[in-house]
Amino acid sequence: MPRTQASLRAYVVQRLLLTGPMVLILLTLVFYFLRAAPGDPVGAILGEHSGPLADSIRRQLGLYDPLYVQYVDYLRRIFTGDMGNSIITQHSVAADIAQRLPATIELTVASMFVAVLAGMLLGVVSATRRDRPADVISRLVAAVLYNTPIFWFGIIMQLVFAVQFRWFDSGGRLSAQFAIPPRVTGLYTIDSLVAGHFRTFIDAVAHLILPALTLGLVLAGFFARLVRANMLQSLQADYVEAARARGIRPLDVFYRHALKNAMVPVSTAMGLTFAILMSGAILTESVFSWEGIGRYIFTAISNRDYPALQGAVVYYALIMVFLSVLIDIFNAWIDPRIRY
Amino acid sequence: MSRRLVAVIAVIVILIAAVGAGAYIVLTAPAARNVLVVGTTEREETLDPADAYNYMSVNFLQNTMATLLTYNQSGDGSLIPMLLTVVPTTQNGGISSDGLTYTLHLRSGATFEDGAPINASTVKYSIDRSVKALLDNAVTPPETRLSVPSFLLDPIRSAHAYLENFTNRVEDPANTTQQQVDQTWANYSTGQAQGVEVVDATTVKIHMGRPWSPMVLLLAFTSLAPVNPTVFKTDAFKPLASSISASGPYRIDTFVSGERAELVRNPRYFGAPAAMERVVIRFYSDSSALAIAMATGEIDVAYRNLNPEAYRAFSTNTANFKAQQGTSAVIRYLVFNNRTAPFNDKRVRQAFAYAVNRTSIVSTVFLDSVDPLYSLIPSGMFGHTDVFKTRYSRNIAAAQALLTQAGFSTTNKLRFTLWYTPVRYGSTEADVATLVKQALEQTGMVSVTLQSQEWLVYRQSFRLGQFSVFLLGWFPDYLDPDDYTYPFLHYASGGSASFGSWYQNDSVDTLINLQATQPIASTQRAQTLSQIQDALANDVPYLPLWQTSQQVVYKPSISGVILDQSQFFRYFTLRVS
Repeated sequence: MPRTQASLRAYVVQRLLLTGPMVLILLTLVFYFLRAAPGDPVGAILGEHSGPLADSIRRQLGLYDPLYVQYVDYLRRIFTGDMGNSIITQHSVAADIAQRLPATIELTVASMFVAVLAGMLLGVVSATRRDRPADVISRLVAAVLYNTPIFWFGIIMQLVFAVQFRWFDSGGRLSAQFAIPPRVTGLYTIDSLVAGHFRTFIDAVAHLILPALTLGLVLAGFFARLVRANMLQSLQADYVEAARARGIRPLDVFYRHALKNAMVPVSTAMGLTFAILMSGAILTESVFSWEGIGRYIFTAISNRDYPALQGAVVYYALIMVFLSVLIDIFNAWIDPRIRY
Repeated sequence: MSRRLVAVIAVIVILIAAVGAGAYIVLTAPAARNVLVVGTTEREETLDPADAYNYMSVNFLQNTMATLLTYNQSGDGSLIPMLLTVVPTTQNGGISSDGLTYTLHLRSGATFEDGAPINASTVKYSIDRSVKALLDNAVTPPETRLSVPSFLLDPIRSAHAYLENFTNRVEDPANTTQQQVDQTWANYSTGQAQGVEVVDATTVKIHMGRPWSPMVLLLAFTSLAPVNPTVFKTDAFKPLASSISASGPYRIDTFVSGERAELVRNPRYFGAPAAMERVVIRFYSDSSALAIAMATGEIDVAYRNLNPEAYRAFSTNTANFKAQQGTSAVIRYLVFNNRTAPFNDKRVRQAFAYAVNRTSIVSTVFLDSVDPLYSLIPSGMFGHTDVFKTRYSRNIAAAQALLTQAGFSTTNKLRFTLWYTPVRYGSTEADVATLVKQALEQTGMVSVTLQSQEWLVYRQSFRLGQFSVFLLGWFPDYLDPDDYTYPFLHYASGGSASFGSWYQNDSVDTLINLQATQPIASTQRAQTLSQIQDALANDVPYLPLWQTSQQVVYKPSISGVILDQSQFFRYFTLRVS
């Protein structure tokens, strides 16, 4: 055991050390692609139009500097958290993203909770009762969920639970009747608890339910299929056979031997999904008027808000790197074979 | 045994904790507040009066900042004093007989939220700032500087020279020096021929560079609203969402962009206090989200923008909702690029005027919730005449005859792209474009391709002359026929170029200059406006299509909803009974 722990520690250290170069490579790629794409920011702002004005703006933005000067300047600005100002909001892009991030985190965590719970449940039920009615039903449910258009599902949820039953509000993060709790984390669920406003907390949770169910159930369809496939594979593995032969209780065989091994690809997929959601679930955010990163990026794209877009891409790249490190460490922890 | 004991103890502890927590929640929780909730799909862009030019930005300021004048609540569009003691007219000496000097008398005792006084120097500071700050801050090019309302102040004495020099400096730094810009600024702000002059603590004079009768209407516009000098500096726009130091009925308590704004009664406001202590404005991502929120009762009022189907559904459900429709001064029209073939041929434009089918747009797309428009000056406004109705009733044969004269036929069709923008004017725009296409193609001599672009790109494209025919809309700056003629038709000032039409008719320029000097509601002015509209119908540089309406849906318990032509939606008159 101590040896495994030591090697896990070594792996984690190695993995973290690799993160630096990885971030640098990613940022370099972002820099390169945004400049290799046809048209520069000034072109995007001015349209196909040049002249002294475009020249002076290009000079101001440093676009006439040698590429390495631009590159160093770009890195310096990113590491100091300066991603420029959005053309639309006139705010610093970092501040814009920071303002919307809590909404996205709240929605992501809640919907991942739903997705993982429902996905695992459906997947495990399917795999353990292969080709029996429970499996057929689970698979059917998973397939339907997975193929449901998310905006349609969201509107149906609104019509049923908000308009018809009036159980929940149709959108937003908090009822107008409750004041926004003093900002600590920006997550209304946590801030309301910190402030001791319990009814605000309950209201914030209630507002999370419909969007989290909408997004979470659709993702659950995908996870269920993944869990089932991997479970079936590991249930047929020799070590499971061996465990059964040793007379280990069937439940223990399932959960400690089969499921844990089936989790490596599943947790990777879940982690990556989480990372993708952290860049905003545009459709869900739109249907539920949820002001998160997704809607910010959407507005940036439709208005050609170049600085906002670049900032969002950098942010997204960093989130991806960070979460993939976490996923790798998690996988190494559950599967001792993963070491360098 | 011990396991069971542990379990029992655990259950008891959990129960006590749950009961305790429940009691704590019930006893300590702040009660839900009594607020009035307004839902909208509009977004603010800025809360700086010097920069505010889109609907929601101006709307927030109208409810939180005291303007010099304001619009009568009875909805007849007439002006009443707000920070001033009297509406300046030629009769009361507020406007000099040559129309070049406006003398403004301020009420005394008005203050900002922090207690700072609003006096003559505040007024001068704010108007000067509206002329200056903005353009100085504009790193963005002139094509995208649409949101800066300073050009409205161009008629003020010495402002024109400054604005011109400034723009030249931005566009071509080699030919205009910074010293020239600074010099014209000094002339405007402090020189002998300064624009705004402080006479005493409560008297300000605005000197005009040329007589311009709509100036009095501008006194009701937010870009002339006095701002608190400690909050709004001259060298930069005030960033969004920060405290604006209110002087009007409400102050801004909370502002989370895209989510909600909370307005609270301003205790320092000099006028009648707002009806509700607190109004919450919630932002929805689109019309259907807004409609659903209204249906669930989460919001008390839905204002801007429900789609026509939703509005109709609410208006038939009279037991649960009140639906109200009001006039609007927003007009929609087709623009022709008058410089490019074949649309530089007047006959082609006239043919389109015969072929277009306004009633099909109004009834099919808008379910009769808007009105067809037959002039650029909206119906109901001083000087309006139905020129297009009298001159062009829908007549395909007449359109064909004109197209034939212009060299087109059923075999040699006039082919062009009709452009529209999909979001800015609502989700109905593509349907409108389709109906325009159908109507024109009924001549058998026209073939239309539809294309769309997002607004920011769209407005650059048409300003650069890349579109021949396109759909556009106009949200007025001030409610006067001048705002529907000068920017559209005046060539010398670059007005028609800014619309991408490049219409040029020197006699129209002269008439437009003339009407701006004539007394604001006089018969002479009506005559001049009528001549301008005759020229409009004859030259067809634009094809007016329809005039929008404003719609609001609210719960039956709400009163105090005012919809008038000023488009000024007042939160401070709303009340829950």
